[in-house]
Amino acid sequence: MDDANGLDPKVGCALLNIGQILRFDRPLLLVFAGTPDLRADLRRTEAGFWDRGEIHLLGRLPDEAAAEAIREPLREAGISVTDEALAKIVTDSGGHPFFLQLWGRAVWTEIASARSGEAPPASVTLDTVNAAAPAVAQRKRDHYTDCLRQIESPWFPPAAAAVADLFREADRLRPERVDSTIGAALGPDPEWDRVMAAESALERVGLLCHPRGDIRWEIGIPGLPDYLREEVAERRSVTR
Amino acid sequence: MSRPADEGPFRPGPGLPPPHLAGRGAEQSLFRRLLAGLVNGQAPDADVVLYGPRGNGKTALLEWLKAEAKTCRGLEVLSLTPPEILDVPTFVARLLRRPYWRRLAPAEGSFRGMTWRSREERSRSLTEALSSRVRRRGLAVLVDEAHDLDPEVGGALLNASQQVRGDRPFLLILAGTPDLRARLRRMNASFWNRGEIHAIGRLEPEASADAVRKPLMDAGMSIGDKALKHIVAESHGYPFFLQLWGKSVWMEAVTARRAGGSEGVVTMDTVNDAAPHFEHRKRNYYVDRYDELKDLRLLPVAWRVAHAFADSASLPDSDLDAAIAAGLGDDYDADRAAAAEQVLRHTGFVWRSGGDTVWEPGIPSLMDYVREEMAKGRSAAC
Repeated sequence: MDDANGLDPKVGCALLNIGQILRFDRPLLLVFAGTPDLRADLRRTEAGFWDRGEIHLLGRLPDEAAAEAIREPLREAGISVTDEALAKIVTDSGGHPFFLQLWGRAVWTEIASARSGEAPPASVTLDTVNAAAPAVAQRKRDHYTDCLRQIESPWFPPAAAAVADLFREADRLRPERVDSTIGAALGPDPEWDRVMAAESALERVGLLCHPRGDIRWEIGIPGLPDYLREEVAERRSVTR
Repeated sequence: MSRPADEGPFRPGPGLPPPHLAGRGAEQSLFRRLLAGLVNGQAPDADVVLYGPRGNGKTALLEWLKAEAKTCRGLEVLSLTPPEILDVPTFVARLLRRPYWRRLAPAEGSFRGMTWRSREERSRSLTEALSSRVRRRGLAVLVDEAHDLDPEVGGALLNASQQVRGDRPFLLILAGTPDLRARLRRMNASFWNRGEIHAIGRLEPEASADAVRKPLMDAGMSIGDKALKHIVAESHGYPFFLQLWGKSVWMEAVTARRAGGSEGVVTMDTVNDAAPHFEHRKRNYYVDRYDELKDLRLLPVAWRVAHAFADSASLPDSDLDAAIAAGLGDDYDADRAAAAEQVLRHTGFVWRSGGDTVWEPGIPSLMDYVREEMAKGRSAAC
């Protein structure tokens, strides 16, 4: 079940329970995939056994894997990539697989357009990367915008920007810091359920993510906090 | 069902029957006796209630019973969970198996102002439905996750069970988290607590050792005393962790054997190599248990309770009440304290086993985890 986040708790509870019964004597495998708030959604099903299953975090790629994701497809097409070009792509993508594909497509397009000339380049260089950068930046901004438009609530921009600000301090944040920041952004003395709902929403849009086996939060989509800060600052200046 | 050999015998998953069901001899004997009675047309004296924190093997025990029942000719076992029986009419319909040709016909119809209903549809009483199902042969109804039963359905089931059991070979088994007993109390069936009530908690050290040693031996591996002692101590007798340890050392031993570095013996080296895999799964599990308490706004309460358990393996009522009150702080009132205690029991953070009057942790190392993480949170806030 893909996009299982947002699963109705009653449906989820029934599915998990029936799955558990059937699995004993039939070859049944249930696989749920979803955004980081899926774990909170599964907790809400009150099927108290799901968390003893195999739980895998699919997060950002480490640098070497990110480099491989770019280098290998290019190599198979007979194109090499210089170390400095690769390093820039890896850094800018933050190991986010979607951004890596954006970069791959953009440098490919640059090479294809250069090939229409006389000498086809056999290598992706820093020049190729710099030429491809605006297209990638635009697609990334579009992606961030889409992420934020998922939540159309007045509380969301200030809460998201406040949490984004916290990530200037550290790469990983204690849950208490994040909860109190969200609480403060929601207004005076908000209900705990509202704080938790806001936290789930920030997970869903990709701002927050638990690293593997750690209760602290880290950034889900790299670059999203910077975009959020800019966006909210811009909205404030327009309002003034 | 056969499993890939490299996967090994251990089953660290929700409700999966372990390769060796250690430490549940009393329950296994009881179930064998009850099943034999059903086959001979005898009703048990009472219903059976299994309760305990999750991960202790309640569902695995029910699965063992189902497998055992398969060897009893003529006996039928109906395994249910609350989402399948949301109300009494649904339950009645579930019990009344109609022949296929009747299923094609509508259960209800009308013609010129006259309405007719099928016989099954008219038979709305749960007692009637259960009686008709058990007419020819013994029937065991197992309800897992019974703490989620709608009180009306639960009350009807308990009452129906009592009536049907009077003259038919019928057995009802309810299994659920430690708050199941409190939920049964609210089901308008005052007799349930005179049934067979079994607490399914952590295993004694010897049973814990058996749970790991026996499956390894059956698979042609042995385990050193020191390695086994370490696993037993680290798992705190928690069956899910014992399976997780078993699987982790199995994977390491298989890898070592392939590399020619082992003769199928699990040593302390194997345990040390397997520890990161075990720790990873344990911490991942605890992240969700911690977040669950956070969602329920019970972390301060859980923290106080965890501190109370720091110096003691068990707590009397008064100490647990004091810890809950301290955790609630200014929010304290009797209703909130009772609700907090109920949630701590439901999540298996604390529970009372058997006839004990004292409370014990569901998993002792979860208490350590909560203490450590809350301490980090507090120091970060300072």
